[in-house]
Amino acid sequence: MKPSLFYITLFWIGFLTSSCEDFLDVKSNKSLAVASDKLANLQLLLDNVSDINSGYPSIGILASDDVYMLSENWEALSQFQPTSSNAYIWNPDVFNDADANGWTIPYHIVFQANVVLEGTEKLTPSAHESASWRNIRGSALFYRAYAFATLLEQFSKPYNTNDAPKNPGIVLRLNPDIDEKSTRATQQESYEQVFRDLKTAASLLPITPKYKTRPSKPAAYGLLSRIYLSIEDYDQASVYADSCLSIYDKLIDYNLLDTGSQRPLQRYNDEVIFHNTLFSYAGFVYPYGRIDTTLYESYRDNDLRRAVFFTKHGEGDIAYKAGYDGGSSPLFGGIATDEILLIKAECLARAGELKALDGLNRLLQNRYSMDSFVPITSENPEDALALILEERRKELVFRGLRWSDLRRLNGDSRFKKTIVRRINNSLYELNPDDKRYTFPIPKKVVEASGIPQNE
Amino acid sequence: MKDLYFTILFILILPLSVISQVRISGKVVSASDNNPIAGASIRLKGTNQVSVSSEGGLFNLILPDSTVTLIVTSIGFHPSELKSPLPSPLIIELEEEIGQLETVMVSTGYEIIPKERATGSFTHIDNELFNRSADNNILNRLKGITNGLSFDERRPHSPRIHIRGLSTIYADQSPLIVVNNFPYEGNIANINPNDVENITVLKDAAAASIWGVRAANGVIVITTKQGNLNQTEQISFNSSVAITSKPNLDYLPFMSSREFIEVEEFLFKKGFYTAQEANPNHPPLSPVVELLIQERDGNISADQLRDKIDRLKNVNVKDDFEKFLYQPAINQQYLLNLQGGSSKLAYYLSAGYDRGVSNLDDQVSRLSLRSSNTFSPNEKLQIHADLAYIQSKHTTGRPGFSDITTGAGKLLYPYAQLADETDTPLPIVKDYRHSFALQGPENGLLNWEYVPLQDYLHSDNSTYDREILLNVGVDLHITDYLTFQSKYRYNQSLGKTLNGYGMDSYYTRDLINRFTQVAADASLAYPVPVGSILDESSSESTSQALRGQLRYHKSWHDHRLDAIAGGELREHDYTSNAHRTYGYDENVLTSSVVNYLVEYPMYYNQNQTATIPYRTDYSGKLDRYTSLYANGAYTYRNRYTVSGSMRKDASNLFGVNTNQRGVPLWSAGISWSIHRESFYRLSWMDYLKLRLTYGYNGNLDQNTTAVTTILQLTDYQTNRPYARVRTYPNPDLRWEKVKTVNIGLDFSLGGRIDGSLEYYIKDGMDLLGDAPIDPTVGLISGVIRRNLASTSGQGVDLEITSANIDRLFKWHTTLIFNYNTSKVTNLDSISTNGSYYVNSGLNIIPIKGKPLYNVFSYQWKGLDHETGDPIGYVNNQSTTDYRSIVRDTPVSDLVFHGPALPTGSGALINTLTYKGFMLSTNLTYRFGYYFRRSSISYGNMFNLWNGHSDFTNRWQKPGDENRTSVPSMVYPNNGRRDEFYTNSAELVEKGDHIRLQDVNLSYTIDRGHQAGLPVRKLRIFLNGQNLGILWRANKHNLDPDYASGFLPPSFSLSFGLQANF
Repeated sequence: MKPSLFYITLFWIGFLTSSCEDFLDVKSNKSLAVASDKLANLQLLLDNVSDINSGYPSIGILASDDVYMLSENWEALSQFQPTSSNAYIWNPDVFNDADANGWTIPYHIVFQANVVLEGTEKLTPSAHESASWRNIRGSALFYRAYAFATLLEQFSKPYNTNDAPKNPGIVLRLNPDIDEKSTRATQQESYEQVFRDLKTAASLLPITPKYKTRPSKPAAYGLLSRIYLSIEDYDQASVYADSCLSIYDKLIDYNLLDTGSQRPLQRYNDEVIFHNTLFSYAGFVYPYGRIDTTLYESYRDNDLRRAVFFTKHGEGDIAYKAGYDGGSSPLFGGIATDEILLIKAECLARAGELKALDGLNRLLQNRYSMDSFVPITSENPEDALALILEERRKELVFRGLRWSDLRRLNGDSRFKKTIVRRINNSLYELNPDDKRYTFPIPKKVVEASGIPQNE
Repeated sequence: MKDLYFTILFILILPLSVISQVRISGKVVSASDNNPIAGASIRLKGTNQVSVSSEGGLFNLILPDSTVTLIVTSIGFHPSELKSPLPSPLIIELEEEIGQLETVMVSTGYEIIPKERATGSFTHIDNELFNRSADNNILNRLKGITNGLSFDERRPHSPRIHIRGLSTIYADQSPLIVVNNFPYEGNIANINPNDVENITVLKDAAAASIWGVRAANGVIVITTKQGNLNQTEQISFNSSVAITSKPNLDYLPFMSSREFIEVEEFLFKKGFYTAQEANPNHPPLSPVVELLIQERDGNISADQLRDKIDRLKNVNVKDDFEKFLYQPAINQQYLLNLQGGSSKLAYYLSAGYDRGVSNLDDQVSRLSLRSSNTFSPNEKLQIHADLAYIQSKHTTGRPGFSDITTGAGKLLYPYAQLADETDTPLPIVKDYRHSFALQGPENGLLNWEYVPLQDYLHSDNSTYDREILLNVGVDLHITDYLTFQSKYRYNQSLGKTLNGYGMDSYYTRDLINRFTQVAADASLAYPVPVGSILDESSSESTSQALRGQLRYHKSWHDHRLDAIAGGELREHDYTSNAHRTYGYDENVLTSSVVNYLVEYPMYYNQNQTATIPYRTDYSGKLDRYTSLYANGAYTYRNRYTVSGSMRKDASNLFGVNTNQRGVPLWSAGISWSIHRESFYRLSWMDYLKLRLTYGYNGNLDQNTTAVTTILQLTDYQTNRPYARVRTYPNPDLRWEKVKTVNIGLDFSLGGRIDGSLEYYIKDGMDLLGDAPIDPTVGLISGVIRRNLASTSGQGVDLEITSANIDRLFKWHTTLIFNYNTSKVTNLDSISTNGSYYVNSGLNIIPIKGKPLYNVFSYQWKGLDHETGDPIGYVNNQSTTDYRSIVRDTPVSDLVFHGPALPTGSGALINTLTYKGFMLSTNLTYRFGYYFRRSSISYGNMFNLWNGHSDFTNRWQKPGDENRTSVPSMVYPNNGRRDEFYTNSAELVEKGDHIRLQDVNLSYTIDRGHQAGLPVRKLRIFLNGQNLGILWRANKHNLDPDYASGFLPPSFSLSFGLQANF
């Protein structure tokens, strides 16, 4: 063989082996990317509204006293969505007929938040990226804490300070490694994680979000306030409600709405601080789920919310019409000024301050027909508290908050309640101290993870 | 960057100075047909100097002095001795040994080797066998004639080909298709079968492992026709016309109009339609329901109603389909080619044109031009250049039975009238109540009616394809035994699809109407502009490959060594884009702007909102591979051969650690020609060879990645970009591997009976499979896909050809028998619930211990005597609690019928020849599999208007359970009852059948027999395909090879001629 040829052959072999690395470094699908490639990717992940801002746990609506069902509708529902029909009668067989449920959806959000958090740790922001890095990291912490809080409300017992260190909490997944085994932290550890994350988030997030689907400082404060309220830490709830309202406290005057419209309220309206939507169960939708008639009757005639929120099909036949997402489905589950105002008012009333009613009246004058609104007054904080709680239920109907309120208020002899259902000839009762205020973890999860089931 | 590499290499390779030495060169050809003989050995008598002829029959030899004797030998030919002076040009003709096994040359895509010396498993389809069918698609011609190859055509529009069964779950199932040395990434329908010379199917590891990671599903190597050096010029012309009859619509289990109407009357009485009448979306109601409403509301009398309904009961939309829409299909093929060669240049030129009109008037045309040249400036250098250009067009014709629907999820009602008595097209109910649609124009909207027999005229759906295929190669004979070969392939195809919805098409009118906005003053606004809608999409696929290899061929004394080694770079780049234009005017080429961001209330229901459909899409893929390979065979005394093959592939598999990108795959084999042994005494069996191979092939799913990846998308509602998690971390991602063991026996009995019997084991390892995972980690489905499954398969391939009578009248028989079973051997169940596994066998639902395509059912007891309810079992107790059956039946309580693909299949080809006449029949058979037949689902009938002819046989009164298994109709319907019945064991049938695949009649005449013939040779043929099933195990007259809802292919007759000038 002549040398020239030999070298060419050698070059060939050498070329093929050495060039492989560069040659094979290109992406196989041009639209593929790894999250931690760049900061912008992390923001894109968090902007996935259908994964990050949708499907928030809402089973409590079906189990709460805001809904009632007729036997025939309940039976139809039991054929195609047993979770809906079972939640209504507090049968423990819930979450077992669909993979997407109150456990898996929040953990899917947690995973994505963890991917983003890991990404923020890998990427060192340049000076001009620092604001967006802070926003991204704060947002991811916010979403993770939000998801954890919704899990605690469903799968951990109603909170009390004495039992929290030993009550089982939830699985605190803090990194995106999918091969790490799941274990349940205590209730106390779980809440500490939530508060820690949210407080860090509040320090990182901007005052005004670019879009209402992104979290912000007031959103983090608002969420802190909501969660502190749910564990009856009224001092902290009050502090964070203040922090929130001091940044953002716009209200909508319902007198300016077209109450006859199918969609009187706009999505991302002025009262919304942070937008998300709840998981849509068939049981919410008319004719399966109807509005509790006592609740409907409690709205006065000059209360504009009656016409804004509901459609009356007949006597005692009320359907939910529209809310803060615009229409009737999906339901709004985010944080809005009205809720924070009511938290603040409740905390003040519980602290014995009568000025609690000032906040309430500020809300109500935007809710009642302007010609006939008369501010509410009361001489004692006890009555004020009852009034505020009644208005809380009416204002926040179908926002996914009633179940949490029932869990919280059942420890208080003044407000505790037994809920009764009648389907065909069977009567079902849920007592204030009922164990069924804590939902069972989906069977599939218990089998695959080995974590202990709730009692 | 990659382009630069290719360019540099090219520049380096092309100007190679040719090394000249004193030597002779020549060519070995067959005396009978002048075709070159490859692999012949040319020995210089009295020395050890041997040369081996190349693929083109060429060889070089260095001469020590001027008086020499050459001994030329080749398998299947008588040896020949030549003494100097040697003629010039040196063309050595070898006489064929009669009664010897024909020398079959098989191509692996890297080299061409005589099958006799191979250790691996090959199926060779020669030109004659390949031309048995006149189909215009290459792959279809392989059906029923290829040992080891099976077709899964249950979904006729996406047929699948399996070589020796299946050994993957989620990765690609299709075999690698190689056209002239390189994988072909284009559309196989673009290659004109009349340009194909032969096909080799590589079946085991030894045969296929040269293709490494893409070989697990087997390889089909297609070689196109080439010219040969020193060949006289030949012109040949092929033409054929195929006529396919109208499909038999009666095969489909349509429900009769009378029964459908009776059900509608029944449902109307029950108030089933009340809610739909009140539905603010105005969903469509059938004409009968509308009549019933009119009668109820007093708008027509009871007599009028009877009259009208009775008339509709006699209407059958199937008649209209047959009369107005379906027609016989016609396919024409023409091909002219020219081939020949001088001592320096060989050429093949062809031009082909095909056109066809389908049963539904789809128009298809294909133009293919091909030029293939070999230039041999001197004996040491050969340059090949192939260039092919293909252009094809497909235009959609009329709608078929499944294309015309009522909309809103409903099929067509069986009494739909597509035209009146005078054949004037009529509108049918579409998307909305007819009365609502009629109000549209009164309120200023466009006509809202759908007239199926006219609508297709207003839209134009066409696909255009253009493809260029370029191959260039250099063979440099460095020494007698060493050749350097380099090949480069460039393949580009451009596709373009136009879907034009004219202003008068229903699609356009409906979209405009739905979005029409009515202002307070009743004025109308049209967010979707009035004008045509044009959807355009185009794609570009470019693949390039570059290969360099050294080829070594040497024999000395009793030894012979053949080896190749080389490297390869390949890439396939695919990009596509699509977009839509509104308000398009084809006359002046103007279009309109629309606002995609606004959610408009819909005209038909103000409470529904929608945004204008936005159809812009871009995608791009780039697959790259690098490979190093070596392959060799050593033969001792023509009796023992040892072969080995190694290949290392790497690809740009995303996110995988560099060291996991590549995978080394290897194979080894031995063969033993027993009949050459001195102790061999079996005179009746004059050829007996044993082969044994072992090795690994790979497979890959380019969609999986090792790291978490995200996919960037645009939210069409907010117009904002976002990303979602596309894949979850899988640090151990690797290539799938298939281990193959092949034991083969080739034999010949006195030249009258030839055959091969092979047994193989095919085990899939590291297959991607789904396993359960704790959903808490973030996967909602609770399922993750990883390399954790394995399968095991085994089978037998038998092929026997026999010359039963071999005189002036000849009767030859070929028998092909293929047996294959496989099962999943390792995979965790992702569900314990039986309902996850009940199926029709059309999709892979893997379960440990069972075949990949399997059929599972609910246990069936029968029908209830009192109610006609179907009865199943839960916990071995018979029950009609369908919810419990569906929710609580564990897998272990299901009935496992068996595989959904045949375990035994094959063909029996009998050919009778007398003088120029030839008659041949092909019987194919398939055994050992199951399918689920369709039946009535009352829910689908009530809600989707999807009836079934089984309705006639339903249970109606006690006692009927003895004659039927079709459940009674109940109201309200219970969806789980339907689910149980349609997935019950009662509806599963054995698939076994025997089919008359084709009959061929031909007459060949040549000048040798008929002096004065204007052409050198003429062949005319008549070929009948799809002649029907001769025997089947099922009693329902069903064709098991086509899933329910599809029509089996109709009888087709083709006539053609082939003339050589």
